[in-house]
Amino acid sequence: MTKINLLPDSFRVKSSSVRTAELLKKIYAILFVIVIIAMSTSIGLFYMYKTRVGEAEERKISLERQIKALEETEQRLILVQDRLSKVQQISEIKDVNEGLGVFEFVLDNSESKIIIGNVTVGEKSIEMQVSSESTLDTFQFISMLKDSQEFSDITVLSMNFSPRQGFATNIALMKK
Amino acid sequence: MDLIYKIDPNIRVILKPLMFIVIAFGFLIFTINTGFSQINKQMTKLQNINDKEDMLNTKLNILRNIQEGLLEYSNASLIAVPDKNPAVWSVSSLRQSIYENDLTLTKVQARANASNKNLFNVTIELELKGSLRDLVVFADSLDKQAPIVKKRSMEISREGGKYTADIELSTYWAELPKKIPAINEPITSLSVKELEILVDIKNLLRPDFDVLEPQQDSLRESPFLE
Repeated sequence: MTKINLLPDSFRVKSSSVRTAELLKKIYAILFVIVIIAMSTSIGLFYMYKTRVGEAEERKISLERQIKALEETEQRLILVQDRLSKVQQISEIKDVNEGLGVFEFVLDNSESKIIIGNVTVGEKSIEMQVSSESTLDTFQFISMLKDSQEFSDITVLSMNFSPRQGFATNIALMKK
Repeated sequence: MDLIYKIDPNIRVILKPLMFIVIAFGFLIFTINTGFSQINKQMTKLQNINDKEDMLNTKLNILRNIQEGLLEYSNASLIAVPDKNPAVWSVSSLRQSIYENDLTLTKVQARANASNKNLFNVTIELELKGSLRDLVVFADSLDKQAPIVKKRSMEISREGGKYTADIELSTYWAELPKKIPAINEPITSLSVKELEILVDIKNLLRPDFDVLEPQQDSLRESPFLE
């Protein structure tokens, strides 16, 4: 049976328009699938991360509770660290320890012929008075100090003689 | 409704799928904008929590590892640098050391100095008599006693064959830390060098007493009663 199109020509749709419409429908279908995938992916990812955030939050709270239980230890640690910083501050304050070391060396190595008199202990140096019956003893003493290689500077500040004290020599020693 | 029939049928046939495409595209933009920004927020939140968790784990490990022996170290460090003026303890330790070294104490004077709020210091001046060797041994022994003292100056004089030493010492004290860090703030562990210093501090000779207890009032008997 022959099909007769009763529509007037003005209502007839061009075949190119029909093809365009078909193409647009396909694009729409693809776009629809993309929208569905994007929506389901984003909802899925959102809930996955939300769950992970919840779990991490719980772990964090548990850790905070455990740390809270160790608060006394933390207080002690802070105290120890504070005191250590103070000890380090104190250790930077100048003292006469090195000068005392110089004097100890002199004391350990001086012979009985040498009498040590007044001593001023400095940071790295000492000034002292030594007395002896003869200049030879004093020179031997100074020579011993020189040979020891312990001092960067040995200065004879003055030398006096009195019948009561013998030869009194003031010496300044600077630690190397 | 009639309006739609006034549109050219060629346009009308593509208008419907075109409208669906626009709507679908709108949905896609909405999903990308809203959905992915929400995901991004959750990811950032998770990252922040994970960072805090790592920090808390480190803090917990430090506290657990250090717990042992810390009590002793903290006590020793508090005696080395007390939180109160340590002049009484220092003088007590000094007198003990002077006695052990056969020296005679002829003068002792203590005075507090103006210092910064961080670290306070008290000067103790000593005048001692004894042999030269004993004076030096005593001066050396000061490095081994708590509270920590620093030898600021030392002068020895000889008169009539006897030696007198004038020694100026400084001893220190500092207030206790006023607050501990918040639970979410990180802490650092003790370094090897700090542990070595702590061992040295622990080995310092402590004074005979480290707490000044208030004395109880004793009953005073009436001298007029028989």
